[in-house]
Amino acid sequence: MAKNVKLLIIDDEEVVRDSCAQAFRRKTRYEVELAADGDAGLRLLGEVKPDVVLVDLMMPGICGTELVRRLRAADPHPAIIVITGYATVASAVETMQEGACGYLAKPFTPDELYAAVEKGLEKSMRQDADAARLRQREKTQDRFVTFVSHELRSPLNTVQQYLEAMLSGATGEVAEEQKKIFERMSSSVHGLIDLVNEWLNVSRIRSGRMTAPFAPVSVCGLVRAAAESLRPLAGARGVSIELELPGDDPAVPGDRTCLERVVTNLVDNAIKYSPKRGVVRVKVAGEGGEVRIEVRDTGRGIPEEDLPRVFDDFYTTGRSGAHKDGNEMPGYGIGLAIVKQIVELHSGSVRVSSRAGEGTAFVISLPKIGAIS
Amino acid sequence: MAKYKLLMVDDDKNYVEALLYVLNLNNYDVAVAYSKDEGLARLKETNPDLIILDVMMGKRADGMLFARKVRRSKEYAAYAGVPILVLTSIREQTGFFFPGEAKNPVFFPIDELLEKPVKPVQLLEKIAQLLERREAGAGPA
Repeated sequence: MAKNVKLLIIDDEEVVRDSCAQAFRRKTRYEVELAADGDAGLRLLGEVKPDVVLVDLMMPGICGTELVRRLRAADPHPAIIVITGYATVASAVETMQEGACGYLAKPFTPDELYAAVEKGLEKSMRQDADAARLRQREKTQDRFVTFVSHELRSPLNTVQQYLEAMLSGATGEVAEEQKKIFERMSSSVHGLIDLVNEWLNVSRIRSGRMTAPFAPVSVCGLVRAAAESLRPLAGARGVSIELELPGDDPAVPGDRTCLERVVTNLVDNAIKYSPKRGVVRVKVAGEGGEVRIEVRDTGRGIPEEDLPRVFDDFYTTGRSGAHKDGNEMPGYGIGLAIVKQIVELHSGSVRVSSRAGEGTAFVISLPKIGAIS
Repeated sequence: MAKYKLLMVDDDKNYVEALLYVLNLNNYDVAVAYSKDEGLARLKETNPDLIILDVMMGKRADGMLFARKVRRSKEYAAYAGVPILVLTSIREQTGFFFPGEAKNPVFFPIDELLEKPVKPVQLLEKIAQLLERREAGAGPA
């Protein structure tokens, strides 16, 4: 059997309260509670947990619009229907913005009353369902992250592994033309694996799941490691990486893996945006209580109007296609969002400056904790 | 020359097949197990020279439990010196970073870790290295 519908009627006119109560007395599935003013109504709201609230707009005390707002704030569940005189239809409409879902003009017949209440009920049920869906969606989002990490990456890894096996000749001889095709497939799959990994990193960082406790991290060590891992890429693109490191080795508190990712992302970007024979300079300097890591390229720069958006998710320069020297443009545009997120989680900041045709510089500042001896 | 025996423990049959092409061609005799328990059973049956191990099997990090058992339990003491090479995509996995180094003697007692997908050349090199190290009599790292 369906649950009873609970009604709360808030009206200062006894006649209206009585007639409404009377109208519903004959309907068995309704339970009716009455309140003579806004304060009493708000009190009853918590006790009764109504499904539908009927509110008179013109009452002494709290004004109708304000009352609707407070009712809504106290409980998002019930449908709120405003009872109004002909003259106050305009203010009834105003209450809709505060969360009322309909109004009923006085005088009204019992049938009009039933119809309004039924309609309100439908709406509140829809709202509840929407809220439940939203909660479900958040849960699904969490599960999706786990899903992606295993179910999506495993087959990608497998495809890549087969391509590698074929390319290595382990499955039999491969003709030159086929080899080229496998290489292209492999490069596409590799790009997709990278994208999934980046996306996972964003989710992980965003949900605050940085597991390792902070420990002193050598900034020069970070920079050297990032540069080392990217030298092959730089070499392939004819770009050189120059490091300018201080004599002492400043340390910052942090998660080494994450911080290395920051530097790697910036240097990787700088390489990809550099022209042939370009130079990527990475400079570390301790100043006062801060350590600054500067990554500067000699690329074509970021348009000024784009600068405020470079740390947004999925930002790219908007100029797709190949660089004029034939190098592919960097793709996904979440690398810088990750950089910012990680740096901020380390109580640091990141700035960008750029000049068209001259290059771009990213400067990270992190709190310093001393030097690693 | 006798073939080296490898034991591969990985729940992804398709992935295993892809690697078998490379391993078989390079004259390794490969036994396969698709779960931790099957892996432990095959370990005793085959007495391998090296173990290739996945971390996430099913929904759990069974690879870690496998490694700990092989390296620490009395039951498998005879195999504690068998080199373990981990192949995994775990390092990038959300919320699951190894504390510091991937090869943590307490947390995850293994010899080497490579990320999936792996270049055949790199894999073969690593396997050869580990086998050589074992021949030379060095214990597990």
